[in-house]
Amino acid sequence: MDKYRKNVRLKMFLLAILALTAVALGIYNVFFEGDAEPSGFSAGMLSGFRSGLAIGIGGVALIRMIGLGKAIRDEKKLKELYNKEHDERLREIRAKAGMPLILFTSVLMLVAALIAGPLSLTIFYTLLIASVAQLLIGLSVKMYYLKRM
Amino acid sequence: MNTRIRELRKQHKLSQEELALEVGTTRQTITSIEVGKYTASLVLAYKIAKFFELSIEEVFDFSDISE
Repeated sequence: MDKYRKNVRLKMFLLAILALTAVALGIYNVFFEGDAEPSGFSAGMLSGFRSGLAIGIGGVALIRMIGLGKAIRDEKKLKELYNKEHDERLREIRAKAGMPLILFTSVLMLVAALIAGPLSLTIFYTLLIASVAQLLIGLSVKMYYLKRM
Repeated sequence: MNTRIRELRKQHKLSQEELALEVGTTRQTITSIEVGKYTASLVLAYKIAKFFELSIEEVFDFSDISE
């Protein structure tokens, strides 16, 4: 369990970096980038989406970090977390839902959407919708198997 | 697959959560095994049987498995 505790500490450290980066990007986007970008609906939409995404990622990372912090101080919670991560049924369900590949490709598509956004709004929307649809399909399959298995 | 896990748990006055913690799984997995929705792997079946100090065949009913 000591090895796992170190693993959780490393995860917390990486989440802290992610949260700080997301918050810094969010602040930069809200206070500085807004003035540099051309005005209009598409530019506003892109800027708003980027800020929202940064705040969302920061928030999720922070919540996960708090959860891990609680687990690391409580031996029972740490064991529960370990069991949840290594549970054979959950692993099978995740595999059936295509995780973590779907999550990985969705994130890549989201990054691609953000990069392509300033060049073409059509590409941005296409990638965004495809990414969200893929995530929703993965989530639906996971929910289905969570009920069935 | 039918199992005696619920019965054995009651005998040992254990909750699903306590058993899950002992055998390294989640409460939901124990529930799924008890109601027959999920068939435990050989490793998990062994851990559960070992915890109750019984053999796998004494905990899990393999009679409905066709040859």
